[in-house]
Amino acid sequence: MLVLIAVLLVLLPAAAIVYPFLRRPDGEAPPDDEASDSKELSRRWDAAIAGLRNTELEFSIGNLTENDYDWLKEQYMTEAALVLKTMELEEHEEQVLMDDVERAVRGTRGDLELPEDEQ
Amino acid sequence: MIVDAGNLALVVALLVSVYGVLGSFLGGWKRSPALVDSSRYALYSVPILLLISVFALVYAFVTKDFGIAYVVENSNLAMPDRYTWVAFYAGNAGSLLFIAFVYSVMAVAVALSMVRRLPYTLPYATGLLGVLLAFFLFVIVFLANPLDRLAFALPDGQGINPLLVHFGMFIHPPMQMAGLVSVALPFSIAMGALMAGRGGRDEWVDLGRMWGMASWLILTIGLLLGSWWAYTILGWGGYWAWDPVENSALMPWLALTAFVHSIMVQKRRGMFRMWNIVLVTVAFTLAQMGMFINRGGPVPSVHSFGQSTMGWLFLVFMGATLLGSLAVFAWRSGSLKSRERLDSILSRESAFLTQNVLFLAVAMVTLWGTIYPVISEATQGLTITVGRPFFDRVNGPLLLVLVFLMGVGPLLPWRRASTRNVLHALRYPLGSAAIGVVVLVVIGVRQPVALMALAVIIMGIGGIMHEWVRGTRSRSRKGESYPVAFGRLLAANRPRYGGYIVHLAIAMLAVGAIGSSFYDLQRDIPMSPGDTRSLGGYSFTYLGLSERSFSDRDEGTARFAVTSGDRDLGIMSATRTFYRDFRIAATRAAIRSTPLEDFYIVPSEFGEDGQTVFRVYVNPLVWWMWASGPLLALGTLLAVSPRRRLAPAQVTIPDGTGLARV
Repeated sequence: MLVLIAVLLVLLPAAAIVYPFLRRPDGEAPPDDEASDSKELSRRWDAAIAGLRNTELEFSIGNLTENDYDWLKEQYMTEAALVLKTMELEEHEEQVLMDDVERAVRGTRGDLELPEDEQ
Repeated sequence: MIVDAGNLALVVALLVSVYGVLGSFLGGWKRSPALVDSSRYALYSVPILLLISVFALVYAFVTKDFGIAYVVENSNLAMPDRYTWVAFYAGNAGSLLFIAFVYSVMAVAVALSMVRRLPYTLPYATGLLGVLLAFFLFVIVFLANPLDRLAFALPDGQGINPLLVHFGMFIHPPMQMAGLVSVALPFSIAMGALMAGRGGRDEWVDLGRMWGMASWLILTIGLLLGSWWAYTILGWGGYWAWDPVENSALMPWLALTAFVHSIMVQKRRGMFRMWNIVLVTVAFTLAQMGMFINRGGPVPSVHSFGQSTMGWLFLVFMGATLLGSLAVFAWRSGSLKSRERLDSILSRESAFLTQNVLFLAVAMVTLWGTIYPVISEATQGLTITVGRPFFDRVNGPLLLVLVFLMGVGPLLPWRRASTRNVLHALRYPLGSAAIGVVVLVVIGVRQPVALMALAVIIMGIGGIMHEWVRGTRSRSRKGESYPVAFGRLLAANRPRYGGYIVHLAIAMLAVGAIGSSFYDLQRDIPMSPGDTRSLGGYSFTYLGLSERSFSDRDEGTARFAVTSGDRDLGIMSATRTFYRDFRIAATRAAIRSTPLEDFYIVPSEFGEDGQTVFRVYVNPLVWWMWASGPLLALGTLLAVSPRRRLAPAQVTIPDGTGLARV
């Protein structure tokens, strides 16, 4: 009985350790790098929105003068707008790149003369 | 057989955790997903293995297996099964197993939280988590194994330390140990991000803050429960003695408190990146110092596992992790520059910077006072202990400034505030403080330091209350009733208002400490049965002493009839117990606790002529210290609860708002 328990105690963790090396890669893309530009933009967006929320709250409870409120709001709105613009540009660049790739692929197919049995 | 399985599980856990450490770092460096996953699964298997060892030890206790050395040292035939929980961690070896198990569970929770959110930091963080786990398991397997067998089974054990059977001991040591080791969680995330080259970005901050606050909460509850235990069981009428082990839990708490505040600046503004790495590293190092002092370190304490001689090993490990952290810090320091700069001295960021410095100052003063006996012995050949007056005189003013900042800081907006605006925001808190001082003087509080400290606390509470009122009124203008408006105000700003609730709890703690420190009364009163004495408005008649003998102890219970003016407050009983086998005397004080004050009686000396000397205390406001605990927990949970994220697609930025200039 003790031998059985010993075997289980060794085999089960060993199976867990070995499993990732044996499983077939499922073709899933590697995870997003948390330090990627898109993640950084997302984080800056969250910070800008939190700043706007906080500014509204501080003004509503009287912790800010109107001048300070206007200045802070402009800072956070500018940051949020900058982030949005950058996101839009990135999406646009990505779309342009995808269009170029598709055009290149279509052009390549046009140049190729495939054997009859592969057409 | 079960004990043998437990032993084997310990060895397998050690091997698996070592693999996990090596595989994590290598997998992260080589960017090998399979190796990273394999190492992560290795980490996941450790708590399961340790659960088997834990079960084996519990089984040994319950079945009274006196062939196990640890069971012999910490239990006996007479010990009720319900004390098995305490007996488990009563000794050095068992407490190490407890720590390793709890820590392995927490480490798995951290790893699971990071898988999707911080996939590139994850291998380094799990590697670091695994380093501490492997260290504990190494010590357990080779130096302090609670499942070690004796050459032959004994007929009975030595019994459990009688000081540990108090209710508080069912919670305080586990929380304290869990709190100290949990400091490794935010440290591993922060240092892991730095090692992964992600220290200069702030993606780790959310999880670092969350686990930092979880660790802070556990450590705070551990400290509070320990103080409460000391107050009720040790019979000296106090709750904090600046004992080295108490200090060793306080120091990481101070650094961690600074960290959970300072990290909000990094989250909001991308600032204080270097500060936060330093703070969490200091917290982790000081937590290890606590373990070193506990495990036979050179500074004597009532808490130390006196039989342990492995303190040097913890010291070496602490030194190694500190050197490693400094090396990583030096390597990656270039990436830690702040994204933005301080806009104004009058800003919340500036207040956080000041609190960073102050918290570290208090921690360093406490550290100096704690290790001074070792330094004096090494340099002068004399062991000079540092007592309470040093800590009170040096730390007291620093803590007072921190309480002041606690009140003023939240009134300062982020980025900048005008002087006029700050003074405008301070008018109600200052007004509250002024009114409070007048009231205090009228009711007889005249001690200048106490008056000043209470004024600062009232100012802080006044600021918080005033904001709550204004915030609620602002929302109620939209048609919400006051209760609904207040509830929604809290819900919409949970980090902020959760923090306020924690600050209120700290204020309660401070009020209790000030009241009991400056206005306590204490007398040693010899009494014979039938005698009536008075102290602080209480009149108490000694009814007599009843004595009982048990198999392991002799108990003497003294009963008192207590009145206050015309009010009959009933019978109070204080017990002094002598445990014959341990040659330890334990007292259980008679305590009548109200929000205003505690009336406290504890037997001091029993005379042969029937006369007994009782130490009698009146301790004002102590009740508020214990009442702060649940509020602390509530505030922390509220502050750390997640909120709905507003995605960019849901927001429209008005035209002309900076967009034209972009």
